[in-house]
Amino acid sequence: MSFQASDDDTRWMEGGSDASPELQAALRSLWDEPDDGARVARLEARLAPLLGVVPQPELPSESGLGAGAGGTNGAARSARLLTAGKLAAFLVLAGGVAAITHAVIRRTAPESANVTRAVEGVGPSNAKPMPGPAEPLSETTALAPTVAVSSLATVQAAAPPSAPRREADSTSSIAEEARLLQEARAKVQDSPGQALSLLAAHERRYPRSMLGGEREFFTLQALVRAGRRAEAAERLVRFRASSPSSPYLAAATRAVNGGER
Amino acid sequence: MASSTQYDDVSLSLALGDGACAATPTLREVFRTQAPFVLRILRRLGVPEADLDDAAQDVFLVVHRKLEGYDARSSLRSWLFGIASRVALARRRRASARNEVPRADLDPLASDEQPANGDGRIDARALLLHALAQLDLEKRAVFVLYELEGFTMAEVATAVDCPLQTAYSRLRVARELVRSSIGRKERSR
Repeated sequence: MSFQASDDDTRWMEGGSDASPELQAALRSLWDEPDDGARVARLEARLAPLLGVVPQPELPSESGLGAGAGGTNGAARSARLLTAGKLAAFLVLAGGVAAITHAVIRRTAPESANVTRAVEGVGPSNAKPMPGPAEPLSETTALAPTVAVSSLATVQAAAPPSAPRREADSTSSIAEEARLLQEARAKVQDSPGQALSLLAAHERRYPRSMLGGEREFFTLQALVRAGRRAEAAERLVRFRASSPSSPYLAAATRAVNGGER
Repeated sequence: MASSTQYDDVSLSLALGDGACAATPTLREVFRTQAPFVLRILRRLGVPEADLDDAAQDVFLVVHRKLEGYDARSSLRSWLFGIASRVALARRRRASARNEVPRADLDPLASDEQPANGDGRIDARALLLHALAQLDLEKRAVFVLYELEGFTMAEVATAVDCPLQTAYSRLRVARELVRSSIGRKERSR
């Protein structure tokens, strides 16, 4: 074609082009890219579930949002963020994630008694321990809930003597959320499709839920159980990016990667 | 690349993007060989530094979904560029829908200030970046691929998924706009 032989084919950087020396210098300067080694490593950590590599702890981003940045680990941060309502809801769920709480409750009997009372105070009648976990989890899996349960005393002490009505409403809402998640969790093993529907409903109803981490964990479990591992891996990547300090991240990673070993 | 992960020893002929790799590469291979390219392209397409990690992640999520459909008829880099440019465009549209104003500190291409060195001289690089920022993504993509990435025009047309003649047309217009933008800046000194 005629335009292939035209002057347009001469790149600005090439000799004989009509670009000025200044323009050529400017173009050349654009080749001096920053060293992206750290960024690539960070990206690799995010994408670990897809790349089939052992996930490394995500490196701190330049904005300092990475796990462990500033000497504050994700678990401690999560503990600070817990409200009494969320704690109660979490504990309802924790009854479902029996293996997660198992080791903790054995080691911290007094706290576990408080836990039960706190849950009953919220009202869910299904606070009794749920059937076994979707997959056997080791003691080390208790990392996430250890944070929540062991923070119970602190949270209770910090709560005002009479909670405002708004807080009560909030607690009620969270308990309702927790029940929905509980129902979904119970179906993960035998009816992962139904579990996913319930979890999707929860996400539509509570898009900014404080229990988003729990929901994500159950969703990943259900996806794996449903044989949708690739989808689970992608979702895990997004979870790692959006919640790098979530106490559920380690368990979620094991849930997605576990079956591959 | 400084990476903590040890990869298997894999054939990396695909790194050249010459389409010579008979088998579909794995995501790991694509990442290992092309991650710097993806980051560079996103940056040159105007994705702000602060958004690069998320944008690159989105690119590789798409690659993960579509890799099976990659048939090696186009070069790997052309194929990746197509994905990266769509990701960049989508992010730009989302930012626009949210009425986000690009921050000059994050996107050096967005500043209307006179790009200058400390001594007051016009920084040619900043001028060029500013000029590129004035281009729409279609023209900018053609310019970047041809002038900076060294693609042939046939590869450019494949990467941006348009007829060859259209690619030439975009290149011509992009060059005119870049020259014009730089000229205006220089005259306004």
